[in-house]
Amino acid sequence: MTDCGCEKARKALEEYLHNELCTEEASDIREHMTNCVDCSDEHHVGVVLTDVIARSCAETAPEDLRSQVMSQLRDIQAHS
Amino acid sequence: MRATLLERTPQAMRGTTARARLGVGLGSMTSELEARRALFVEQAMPLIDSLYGHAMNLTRNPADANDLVQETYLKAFGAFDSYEQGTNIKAWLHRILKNTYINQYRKAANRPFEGALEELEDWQLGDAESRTATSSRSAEAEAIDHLPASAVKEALQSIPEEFRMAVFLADVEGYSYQEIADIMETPTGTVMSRLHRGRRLLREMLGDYAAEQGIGTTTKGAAS
Ligand SMILES: [Zn+2]
Repeated sequence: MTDCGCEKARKALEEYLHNELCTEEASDIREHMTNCVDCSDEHHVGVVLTDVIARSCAETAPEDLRSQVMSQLRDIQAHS
Repeated sequence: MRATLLERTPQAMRGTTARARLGVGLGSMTSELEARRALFVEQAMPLIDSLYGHAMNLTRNPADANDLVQETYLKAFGAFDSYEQGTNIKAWLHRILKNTYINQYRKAANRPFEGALEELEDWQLGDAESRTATSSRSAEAEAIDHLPASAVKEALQSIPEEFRMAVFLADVEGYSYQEIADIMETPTGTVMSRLHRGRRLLREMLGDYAAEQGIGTTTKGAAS
């Protein structure tokens, strides 16, 4: 493990956040963030942004829709 | 004739296929349909919340989202034979939903789907990161964390469609870049760029909103 430096860390933060980095790259970023308040604060903003979007924009399908879909599927007959 | 054929059919084959081949297997055809229907319901119905969320994200209103989800399920069931079992059904269903949306709703609104956005230069999209002073990042996070859900939803709905879709699929649904690429039918590089730009826009908008509302800003005050 080596400290990758700010520039590389910044570029990779979003992928790190979305778990898109391989183990080695991810641990480089983690390593850098333990020593760099700047990058770890930047990462924290990203994490909060994701959390806020996730909890604000998740939807639950209305119960009516569920039953409408089910009854439409039931109505489908075998092709002639 | 039937009897003769049946007599010639080996014992082992005298099941569904043999009867269906003879054209007398209405009962077995029905049960084949039933089996397919049951499998489809089992695999596809658990994804209805996610599909509805995607539909809301695209159409931005419940009535259209309802229609879009219904159409998606009907189309998907019609094409279920072409779905390869064991492959990613989430991506398959979301792709059908996206294409249904583009073909019907988007066309009706007469707006082009692809293209225009990739031409937007970075400077036109602003740069949230560079606007945030080092010392205020924790304040920014704090402010964003305290925003009302309605404001966040509104902000997401206001950003360009391709960005909105990428952000929704990654940050709300937790899909991988590869899954999003499969759904949007674009290279993963495009997904990353849309996601990055979308998140940057949101961060900027939410930061501005928080500042306007005086949320989480102890230094700037509650100016509006
Ligand atoms: Zn750093």
